[in-house]
Parts: sequence; C-alpha cells; structure tokens
Amino acid sequence: MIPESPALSWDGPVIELQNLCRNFGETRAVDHVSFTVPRGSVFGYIGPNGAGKTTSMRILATLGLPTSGEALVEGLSAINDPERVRSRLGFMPDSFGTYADTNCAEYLDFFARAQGLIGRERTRRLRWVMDFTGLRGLANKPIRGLSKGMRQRLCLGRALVHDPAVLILDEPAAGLDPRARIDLRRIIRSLAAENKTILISSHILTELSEMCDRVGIIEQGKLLATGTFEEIRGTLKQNREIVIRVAGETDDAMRSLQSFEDVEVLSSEGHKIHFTIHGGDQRQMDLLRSLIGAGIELLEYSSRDDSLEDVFLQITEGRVQ
Amino acid sequence: MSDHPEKALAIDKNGLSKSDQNGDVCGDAEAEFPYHWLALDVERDGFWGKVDHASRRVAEWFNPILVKEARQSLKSRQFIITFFLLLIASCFWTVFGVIVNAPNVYYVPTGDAMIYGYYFVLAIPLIGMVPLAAQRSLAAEIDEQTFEMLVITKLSSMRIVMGKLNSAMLQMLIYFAAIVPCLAFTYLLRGIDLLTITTLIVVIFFTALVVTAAALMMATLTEKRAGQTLALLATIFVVFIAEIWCAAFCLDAILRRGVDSEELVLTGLFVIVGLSCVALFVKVAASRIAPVTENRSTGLRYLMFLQQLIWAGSIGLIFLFLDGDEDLVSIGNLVIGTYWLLMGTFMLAESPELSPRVQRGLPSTFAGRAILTWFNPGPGTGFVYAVATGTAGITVMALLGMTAGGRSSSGQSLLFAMVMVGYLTGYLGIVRLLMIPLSRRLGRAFTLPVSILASVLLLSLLLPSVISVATTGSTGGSYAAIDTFNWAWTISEAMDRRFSPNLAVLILLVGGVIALLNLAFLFREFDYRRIAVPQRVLDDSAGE
Repeated sequence: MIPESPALSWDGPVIELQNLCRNFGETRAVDHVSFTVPRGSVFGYIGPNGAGKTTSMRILATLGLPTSGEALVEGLSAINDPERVRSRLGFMPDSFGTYADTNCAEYLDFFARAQGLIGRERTRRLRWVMDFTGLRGLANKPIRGLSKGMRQRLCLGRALVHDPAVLILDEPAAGLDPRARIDLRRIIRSLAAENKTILISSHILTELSEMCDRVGIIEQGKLLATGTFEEIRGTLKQNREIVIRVAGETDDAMRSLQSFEDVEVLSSEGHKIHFTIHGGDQRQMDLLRSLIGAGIELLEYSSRDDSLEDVFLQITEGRVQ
Repeated sequence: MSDHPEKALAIDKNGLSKSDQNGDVCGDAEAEFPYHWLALDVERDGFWGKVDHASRRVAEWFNPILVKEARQSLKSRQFIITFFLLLIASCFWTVFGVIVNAPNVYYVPTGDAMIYGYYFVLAIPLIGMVPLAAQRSLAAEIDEQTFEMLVITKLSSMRIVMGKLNSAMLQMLIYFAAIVPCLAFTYLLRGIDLLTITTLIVVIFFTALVVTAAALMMATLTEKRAGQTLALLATIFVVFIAEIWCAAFCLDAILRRGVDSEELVLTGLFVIVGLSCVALFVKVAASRIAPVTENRSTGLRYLMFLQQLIWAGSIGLIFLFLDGDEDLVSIGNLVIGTYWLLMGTFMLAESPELSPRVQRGLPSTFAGRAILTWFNPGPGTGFVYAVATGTAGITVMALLGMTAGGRSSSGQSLLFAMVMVGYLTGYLGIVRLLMIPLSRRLGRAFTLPVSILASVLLLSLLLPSVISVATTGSTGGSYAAIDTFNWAWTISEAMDRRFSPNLAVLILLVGGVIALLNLAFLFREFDYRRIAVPQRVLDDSAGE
C-alpha cells in the first residue's frame, strides 16, 4: 500500500492552466492554452515534437516563466508562489542528469533530505520508493551504470520521494522496452488510484489511451482538443473500420455497400470485404439491417473504432514550428 | 550489490510493490535484497549506539547539499589526488627541512624557516584547488542537468549555495587537519609563536573563503558553455591574484615583520571585509539561481549598504589607530566611487516590472515608501540608490580627509569627493540613459550595462585626445578643461592635490544634470504599490 498523502484540503482543480502563452522571440511556443485536471485523474498531453508540451509542463513545474497567463497547482500560482507549488509536485523531465560517484540509495536519500524529510519519515519513504520503483536490489549500484529503464524508475522515485499530490511526467516512456513500458503503465495507474493527479506527455499514443482519463491535443502551441477520449472522438467525424465475411461471392455485398454514401470500400479479398463507414452506432445498425435485408449472407462482422492515433491524426495537421 | 536486479521488480499486478505501509517487505524479498543502510532506522544499544543515534540526529540538521557533496566529492579523484599530494608535500618539506637544518635543528630555533614551506603546502590547495572545485561543482549542476531537479525541491537558492560553500569549507578543514601535525612540529622547533601561526591560518582560511564565494558567484553568472569557460578563466585569474596577495601579506607582513598590533588590526579588518564580501557573493549567487519572480535585489542592496559601512569604518579605524593620511582617504573614496559605479551598473540590468510576488512585499506606509522605495528592485531605484549611497559614503570620506589634512589641504579632499560624485552620477546616468532603448532590443542580461559602461569609459578616455588632435593637430601636453572627460587623468590629478576647484564644480554639475535627466524616467518605478497576498496563499500558510 502507498502511504497516505497529506491532508487534501483543496477541492478545486488540482492543475489549471489559464490562457498560458510563451514566446521565444518571434515563435509562440504556447498559445493561450487552458485546461484543468481534477484530483486523482491522469491527463495525457499529446502533440508532435515542438508542439509546446514540454514548455507548458516546465512552466507548471516552476522551471519556466510564461509570457502571459497563469499556471496553478492546487490553486497556487506556479509563477508567483513557486515554493508552495514545488512542495506539492514531482516532476520527471524528458532528460535529466545524475551525479557522478553516487549510487541509487544516496541519490534518493539526497532528494529526500532536500525535500525536508528527516529521521524515520525519510527512511520510511526511501523504503517505500525503493520497493515501489523496484530499485531495492539496485540501491548500491552507481547511477551511471543503470539502464535507461532503471534510470527512468530512479527519476520517478526521486519525483515521488516526498509524496507529492501532483506528478508531471514528460515523456516517461521514451526509450523504454515493452516490459518497462508495461511496468510504468501499472505504476502510473496505481498512483492515480492513490489520488495522485498526473499530467503525462508521450508520443506512444496507444499507451496514453490506456492510462489516461482525459487527454489534451496540442499542436503549434495551440490546444486543439481536450476531454475524455470518447468526448474528443464524439466531436469528430467518426470513422469505423468494418470487415465482413460473406457466404458466396462478394459482388452483391459490394453493390449494396456502394449504395451507401458514407461507405468507402478499402479492399475485397476472397469472401472478405474491408470498408469504412462514417457515423456512429445508429449508422452501423442501419447498414447491417440493409445488408441482411438485401439477402446478403453474413458469416462474420467485425468493427474497429478510431484509435487515439487516428483521432490525433485527424485533429493535428503535422505542422511544426 | 545485488546479483539479481530483475528480482527487485517486486511489483504486483496493480503496480504495487510487496511492501506494506511501513515499508516492510513481505515474502523472501527482504532476505534476498536487504534495504540499503540509508533506508533503515538503525538502533543499537550501549554507548556507541547512543553516539550513533546522537550523530544521526545532528546530521539531520546539516545542509543536504553538504551531505551529498561530502559523499560525492570525498570519493572524487580530484580530492583524493589533492589530499595525497598535500600529505606527500608536507612530509617532503618536513624531512627536507630537518636534513637541511641538521644538526642545528636540535638547538637552534628553525620553526620560522619551516613555516614558509608549510604555508605553500596549505595555501595552494586551499586558495587554489578548493575554489575551482566549488565552482566546477555548481557549474556541473547546470551543465549536467541536475540543477533543475535541485531547484524544484524545498531547498532555497540560498541553502543550495550555502551547501556548496559548506562543502568547500569541509574540504578546507580536511586539508587543514592534514597539516596540523606539521604546524605543531613547527611550533616545537621554536622560532615562531602561536599567535603568528594562528594569524597565518586565519588569513589563508579567509582568503580561501572569499575566493570560494567569488568562484560560486561566477558559476551562476551564465548557463552557456562559452560563458562558463569565461567564468572559469576569470576564477583562475582571481585565484592567481588571491595567491599572490595572500603570499605577500602572510610571508612579508606576518612572517617577516612579525605579528604586532598593526598586523592584528589589519587582519581583523581583512576578516570583517572578507566576511562581508563572502555574504555579498553568496547572496548574488543565490539571487542568480532564485525564481525570477522573487525579489532578488533588496537583500543585495542591504548588503551593499553594509559593505559601505564596513569599508568606511575600516578606513576610519586605520586612520585613527594606524596614522592614516589623506592618501588613505582618497583611496577609500576611489574604492567607494568605483564600487557604486559597478554595483549601480549591475542594478541597471534589473527589470522595471515588478512581479505580483515582489509587489506583495513593498512598503505600505507613506514613510516606508519614502525611505525604502530605493531598496525595491528596478533600474531607476537602483540608479538613485547607487548615487545616493555612494555620495553619502564619499562625503563621509571627504569629511575624514578634511580632519586629516587640517586647514592646508582640506579643500583638496572636498574637490576629490566632488570629482568622484560627479563621475559616479555622470557615468552611471549615461549608462542608464543608453540602457533604456537598448534593453528593449537586446534584453536585460547584466552583460549589457557592463558592456555599455566599459565602452563609455573607454570612449571618454580617448575623446579628449581625439578632439585635441582634430583641433590642434597634437594630443596636448598639460591638463586642460577638455581632459575632464578623461577620468583616469582627472582622478590622478585630483589625488595629487593639484586640481582646479572650477573643474571639480564643472564635473559635479555635469553629473548632476545627467542625474536629473534620469529622474525623469523614474516615476513609473516609484508608482508601484503594495498588493494584497492572495487568499489562497493565506489559507495555505495557515494550514502549514
């Protein structure tokens, strides 16, 4: 079990960006970004390289200043009250340095001390972090000798050592092997279950779709969509990929399908037809009813909704700045 | 170290480890991977258990950076090599000294000769190696991306810098401890007393401390690699100068002439001035790494004011107790003028915009605003503060000079003060007027006003000669009114007590006019009012 967090008195949004802007010379890296993240939820921050994810996360982590706008953690300004915000958050950057001549235990112990933990409280947190991140067996190992996955775990341990209410994880899965990614996904879900609020960015969209409660899609500094995956998908023109297998020839089925305006046949091979249909469940039911009504003998019917990747591709245009 | 790290991944299907809430591990994980000693609450019985417990409790109060650096740097190759070289050098000098002095070493005092060698054995690592290691330590945090992880902890910027300084002091103590037997041996050889040895150690230690603080400050001046290299070169230069100064003071003033009341007063003043420099350098370094929205200026301004008091007090003390003369006062004045010109230039790099966080701490009463506004961050307040405080210091020095010189030369002290005030207000005012348009285009890095100042000072040195060559075809031989632009020549003339009162008044008037022009741009900074602390912050403070 994870030890209980300190009293959680703030009942507003734990993370809140209000019209956040950040310019680098002529380039607007973050352009009026606003969103909120409630307590205990995992918010996925999605966007191509250079979209402004890291810039806005760093502002939230008190490591950067916005040109305008506000970044709040539990109602406290990351800009004007960074010390208060820092005690509440753990930040895991996309790249981070480590100390020479230091082993994992010394590294974690140092950050525990730096976070003001003393005596038994510190040793208890160290034990918990080592167990939680699986670093117990590597406590004496020099950091420089750790694999990428273990270094990510160590960095996560550092971010967790003071039991923060908020975690900001910038590309935590980058460079990890599949097993380490699965471990990381479990860790993040278990942290969310313990009422931690997590803001996470990743390029691996399938992973985000599995672990995030809500996502925000950002491109060229602008937040293009925000909400649950279903909410975002609901706002888009929905594409559903359908594969049917018919008894006999596919000609009749093909003719029936082509009579539908919003159907696009992708391929036909043997007794199988692969096509897409725009619309939701009702449209799909109409199609199925019509096929059966036309006397098509269906042996198999399978459909697949748009994935997060599909949604991402629909929303973004692949522009970088 | 574990041979089976993969087994440490004892995370269940929910992603939770097999540890319970108290951190105790279930199953056989405990037997296979015992916790690191840092994660255990070791409680031993008996006397040594109590000592261990007490030591741990004391260590909790140590700066975390000191603990980390002690673990890290004492394992470093640099420290090990330096330490062993120090041991080898001290052993070599001991054996060499005994052999050279044998058999006189048994009955003739030879401690005074031996101490020269030990001085170098101690001074080179303390003043040379420790500051460079401290600077590298702080610069490496920035270089190797560990710094950002550090600043988002609960450690304040001041604690971070103090941690680095404490770590450097720890290294100094270790080096010192290694050479203590040699110093004791020197004392036993006779020819040198305890007071001299103590004074020598104090001077070396405080010189090393000042240089280390300066090195830490330089490490924070820039994050760019090229800038860091320049900062390192500057530190090496400072180290070189400090080694020469310390050697001159220790070997000539302390060892050759012996410690008398004059040396004790000078050493005492050096310690006080040195400590104020350490405080200033540490504060500058902490301000450089503090959040931009924090008030990074007011504390520095208080320290600058304190330094002026210490400096004026030191000059006064030397003047009263060590037969000072007008030259000493002129040097004091020159230092004050240069100091405020430089500090004022740095303050011109501050932003005129005050963050809401800074505005929360502004004085609220009319009296408070009238007196303390000049301590608020901002280039305009900085200009007024530097000019006003510098003028006050220079005036005090002039009064001291008038007391020293009697009726015959008191006027020259006043003239020199007028020249210094005129140059301070004039040059600082020009830099500020140039900064206003340039900062909009080039930003507010501290290098901009410093570059402007250097350019203006250089141009004003050359201007009289250029005008003279353009009008008369020669550079001119004697000092004339046009040469008032040439600050170096003018100051030299004024120090030689052969300066015209009219020219002094002219310099003061020009400086005054430039200052008045600057005041026109000041009103916005004066207009800032205290704002209320947000309710959420008050609630959070109440909950702490």
